[in-house]
Amino acid sequence: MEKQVSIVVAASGEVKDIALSQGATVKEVLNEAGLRGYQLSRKGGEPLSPDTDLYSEATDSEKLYATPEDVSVGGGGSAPLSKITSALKKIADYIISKYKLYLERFKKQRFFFIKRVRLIRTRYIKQLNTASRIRLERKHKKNSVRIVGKDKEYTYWQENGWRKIGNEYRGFFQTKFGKWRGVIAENYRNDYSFYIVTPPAILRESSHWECFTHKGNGLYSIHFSHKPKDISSGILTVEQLITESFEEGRKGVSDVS
Amino acid sequence: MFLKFFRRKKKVEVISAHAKKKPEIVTYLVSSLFLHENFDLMKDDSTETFYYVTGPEVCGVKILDKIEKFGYEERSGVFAKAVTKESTLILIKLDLHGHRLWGYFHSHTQPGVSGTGPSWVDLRLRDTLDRGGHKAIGVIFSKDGFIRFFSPKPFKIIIYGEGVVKINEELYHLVKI
Repeated sequence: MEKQVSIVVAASGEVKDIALSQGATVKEVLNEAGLRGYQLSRKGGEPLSPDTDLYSEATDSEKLYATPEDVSVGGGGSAPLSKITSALKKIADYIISKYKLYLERFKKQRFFFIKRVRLIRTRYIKQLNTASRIRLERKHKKNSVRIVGKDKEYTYWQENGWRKIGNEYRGFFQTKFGKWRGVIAENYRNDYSFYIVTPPAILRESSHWECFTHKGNGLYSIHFSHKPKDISSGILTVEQLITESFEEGRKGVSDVS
Repeated sequence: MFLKFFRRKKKVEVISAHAKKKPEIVTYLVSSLFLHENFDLMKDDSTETFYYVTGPEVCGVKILDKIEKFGYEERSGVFAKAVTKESTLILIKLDLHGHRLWGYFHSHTQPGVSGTGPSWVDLRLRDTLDRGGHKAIGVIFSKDGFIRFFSPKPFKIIIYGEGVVKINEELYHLVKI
């Protein structure tokens, strides 16, 4: 069974969703994600060793941080003798480690090994600042009435009152337990980021709470383990998730707006 | 046969149209006062000083206005290496606060325009950050107030305030007021 992890390139806004098969290591993940020269760590900053079995180490949908391994700058000049010897030692160590690795693979007859890591997609998280949010709010109020052509086919998001404003869709995630304001940002063609404003408190107790990341001012981004095919299926997934959380009956109806 | 040839030709045209797409120009805004303050932090040091810079983003313009310092694992007149764990924690902190890394400032101990040339170590860090999708710009301060901005992607620098003379798109010089 495959596991999925999200590799967040810390402070860059880039997120890489990776599917792991059994035995996948940190090194394989970094290679697949194209993050040569990076290391993986959890929120605490403790790095994971390159040979760590990430499949058994990480939980499904876990968020891991990728940060540069060697953060150094130099003004040039002639390198001291100690640096030259240490550099030569590093090169020798690298060659020896590579030789050992290939020898090990050859012994295990895994020279042409099966790919255990797959890059699903790369996302870029946009930061919504307050100014643009207010601007969108004003636009939204202005365009409260919109006439849609008769021949246009209605989809779930349109039927449920969602409206498109520029590259964003605004509306409500509606369930029998209440409705919650939502924003869907179109990153690029057929790739969307889903947000919910002040989600119901019951979600915090649900196992899905990990998928919600607070972005400030009550705005939460929603992470999907499987990318929704379109906006409507994304909305339906969120609505189903909220309904399920309420039906689990841990807390009852709350925060219904 | 003719149709086959025609179709092939069209495909080539489509590919070249994609290739012509203009690269995005990243714009950074920095205050002259902030640059002077950074220079004051670095000028008296006989070793290289190095830190991260972050700030807000307004309408796509990245504002360089906050210094994030870390400890050094190695430091000399020609080299500075950050403590990896401290650098990692800073980047994670920025990410959790919804901030991005906009720049990495460091000083060179040589004077003049030639003192601002990025070394292979600087370029290696630049490429590493670029691989991770960072839009961080490298900034080098020379001993006598020359400043070089460098990035693998096209960029534009807006200097707010007085006290900085523009030499070219990448090179500036701090002047006393």
